[in-house]
Amino acid sequence: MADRIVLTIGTKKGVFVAEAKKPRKSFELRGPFGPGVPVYSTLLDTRGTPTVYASSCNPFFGMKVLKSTDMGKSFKETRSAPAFPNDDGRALINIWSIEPGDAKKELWAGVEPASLFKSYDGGDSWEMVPGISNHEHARKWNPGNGGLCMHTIIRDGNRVHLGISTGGHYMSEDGGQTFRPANKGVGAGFQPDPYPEFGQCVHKIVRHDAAPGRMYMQNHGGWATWTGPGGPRPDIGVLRSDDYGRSWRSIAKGLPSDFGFPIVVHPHDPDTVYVMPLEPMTRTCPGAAPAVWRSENGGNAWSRLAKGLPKKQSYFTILRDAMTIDNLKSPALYFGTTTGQLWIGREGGEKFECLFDALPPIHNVKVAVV
Amino acid sequence: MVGRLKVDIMVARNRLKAIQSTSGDGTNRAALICYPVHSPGVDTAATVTLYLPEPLRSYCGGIAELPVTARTLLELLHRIEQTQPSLYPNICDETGAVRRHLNIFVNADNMRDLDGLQTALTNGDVVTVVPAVSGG
Repeated sequence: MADRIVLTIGTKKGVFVAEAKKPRKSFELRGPFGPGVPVYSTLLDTRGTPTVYASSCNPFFGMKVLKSTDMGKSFKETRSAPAFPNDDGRALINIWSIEPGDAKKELWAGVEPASLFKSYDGGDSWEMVPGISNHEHARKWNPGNGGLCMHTIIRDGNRVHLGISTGGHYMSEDGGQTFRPANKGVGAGFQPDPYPEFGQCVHKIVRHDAAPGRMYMQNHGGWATWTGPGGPRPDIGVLRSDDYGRSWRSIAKGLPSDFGFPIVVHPHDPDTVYVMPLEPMTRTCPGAAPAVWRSENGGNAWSRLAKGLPKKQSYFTILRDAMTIDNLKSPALYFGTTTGQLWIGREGGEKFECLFDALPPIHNVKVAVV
Repeated sequence: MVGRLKVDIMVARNRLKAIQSTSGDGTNRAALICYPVHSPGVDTAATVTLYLPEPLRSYCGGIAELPVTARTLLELLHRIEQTQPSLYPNICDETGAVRRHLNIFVNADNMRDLDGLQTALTNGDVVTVVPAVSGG
């Protein structure tokens, strides 16, 4: 069968699936599944039979995990969703990330309030990971505007990286048994101490298999003009680590804003990274002229990619998981807006085109070639 | 007003069923009219009907009405937790709290206007779970 490019689009009103043949000329849209219910995370699991997972954050009846084994043509609820132990005192609010684990049916889920869960049976049962969920800092983390969410899970052998808003970056080097904060150089603009041990509002973290020690982070920037206690803290929004996340340095110079939500690394080149700068106050594209910014040298310099995007009067907001890239030879970038548009940036973002113009507000976009 | 009347009729019907099932001959039908009947300190379990909205029926075999025996709303929820483990998490979170955007009515009254989860139940009561009118 010819390669198919499958997109999952988590929206405020359910999950959509879009599919195209390899040239990606046109995408066929299916859905919404779990209609009317917000979906903040999806996973296209290509291990074995391709399986799609979607978190369904039902405001009335609680969290569900939806699962499709026919590539997003139909979904069923798994037998259960993550849940805190009854004597824990916390209640699940949302699932912000679903990632594959080691074993074939193993899944990891980052949730709100910030905690980590694992499933070993494809999402039918879940257990809490105490090393981070009951970390001594866990009850000291505070919710950001989106909630107290664990939105990033990166696995690299025994190394596990977690992004928590607002908790910061935590890492494990024993496969997830124990975790410690690793936020050296990660600024926090919203408290007097600009560089606390933990409590940063990390927005997204990415890495590339070919450069495992290199990591990129979109942090909560936009504090260049702060004049309160601790003084201004410019350029804390876009960061890079070269020591597996132990310490971080700014790579924000040259961007129109260091505020943003998503950050994406090129599938074939660990030096190429993409961000979507937003104005910190409005959280929309600077000048109402949307643009993706790309660095091809690991963040030393940035260039603006906007061919095909509106030039004015376009107040896009792109959330932390709403930008992704496929892994074809000439990869395409995809991003979804809170105004319900899904865009494709062909040739690594050189030419943009709107695939769907009027979806519900988009929270999450994932892609896989199957 | 019409809605309230419908609830009253449903409650009356259920009380009749309850009385018939307990006394056999229905001689005490006068009890049907002593509404409202939420007296605190009730220590005998009541047979009530839990009425479920459509989205929840798939979690309990597709049925809309569940007979439950309980003295209070809290006890009713505990019974549901024991007997309908798939249904229960849709109504209460892990801490046992009723989900924020759900309302529970005993007959026509929101439990918030009664004694909350300590609201006493009486034979024939209809307990209704209703998603709040919210969102956009």
